[in-house]
Amino acid sequence: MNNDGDVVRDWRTLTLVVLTLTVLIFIANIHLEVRGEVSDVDIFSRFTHSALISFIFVNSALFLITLALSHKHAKLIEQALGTLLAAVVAALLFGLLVESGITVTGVATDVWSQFALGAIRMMTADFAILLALGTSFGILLTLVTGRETPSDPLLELETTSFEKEEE
Amino acid sequence: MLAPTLIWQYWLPVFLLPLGIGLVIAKESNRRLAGKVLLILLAIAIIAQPSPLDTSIEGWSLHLLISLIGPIAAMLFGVWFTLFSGPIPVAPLPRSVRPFGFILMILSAAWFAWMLFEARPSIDGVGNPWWQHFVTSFLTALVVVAGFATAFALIMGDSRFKEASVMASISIASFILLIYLLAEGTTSDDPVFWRSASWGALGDLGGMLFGSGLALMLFITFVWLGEKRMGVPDPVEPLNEQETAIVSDIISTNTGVDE
Repeated sequence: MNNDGDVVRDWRTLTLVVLTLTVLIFIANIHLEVRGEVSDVDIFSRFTHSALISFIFVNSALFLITLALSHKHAKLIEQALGTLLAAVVAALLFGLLVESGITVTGVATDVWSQFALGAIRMMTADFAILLALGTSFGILLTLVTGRETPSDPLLELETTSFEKEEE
Repeated sequence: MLAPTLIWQYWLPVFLLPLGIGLVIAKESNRRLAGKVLLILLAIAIIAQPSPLDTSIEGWSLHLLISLIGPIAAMLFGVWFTLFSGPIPVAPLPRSVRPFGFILMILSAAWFAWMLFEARPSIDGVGNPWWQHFVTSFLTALVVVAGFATAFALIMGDSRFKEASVMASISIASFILLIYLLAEGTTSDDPVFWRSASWGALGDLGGMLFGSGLALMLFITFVWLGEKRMGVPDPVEPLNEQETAIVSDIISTNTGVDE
């Protein structure tokens, strides 16, 4: 049985594995980009747009879920108003960013077109992540539950009649 | 100019989806019912969209979803059949179904590979513009998630080398497939487009991780601030004689033992 120290070590190892794989993918992409023949992708704009749109989406979703699950003890002022304001501020910041010329290629440079493109990109990536999670852990679950284990020997024991023993 | 049908039949349902999910998971039955009705209405609004799917980027995203129904359904049913026909105590399906489940999973992977190399989703010969973004995001996520599952099975499991090796194979195969696409491309798409899509997808995934993480941390801060503002609750007064008598009465009624 693991103690607390082991649990921390195990999760640290798992985090390290994920980070290593992410770095590997980055290296592979950079290596292939260095080979040339890549159309212009402004990764900084993509990162900024994606971060802001994700921030807006997660805050809006949390705002709506807070409203849907509200009850008399809920901290509506802090949670609902806080998430709504955060989403509005991020939306204004996104508008400012686009107006100042930090845009992504492939669509018109007005704020709504840029937001719509980024939002659909984000939803597509979310969908891909969900599929990857479902596929991986679905397969892992079927494999893990497929192992044959001997039945518990206690189940094979018969109940004993104490009256007969006493006789 | 954004078409009104896209506002009412795409963006509004997307915006209201968390509200529907929140209502469905609520404790009160009337809220759950309202959530189910809302989700059904949202689904109907999206399905009943009158404009052709190839006239907007929103329509193309729905086309991608429809195109992938086949492989997703095969994978879902494959996992379901395999899982519930295995040697588990709650298996309602006969054991003979288990190989069929594995076949469905393989069919799902083959179907996806066929779409990738031979039949890119398209309408009237025009390829779906979201396809490359989806594939590169999916393969990138699959490399990381399957790699995590491999390490998880090895570290947390008890002699799970077989399971870990299968998950490692999926992770490595996804990585090789991604690199192949970036280096060689497919019959319908030059590798240049795949490299651009993969590079962009990395920016998107990194941004999503950062933005979502920041939003969650902010939400936790809001909850913490709310709890902090509540202050320390007053100490509970001990029961008076009348309340003690009521409690004793209830206990003796339920246990059948007099005080």
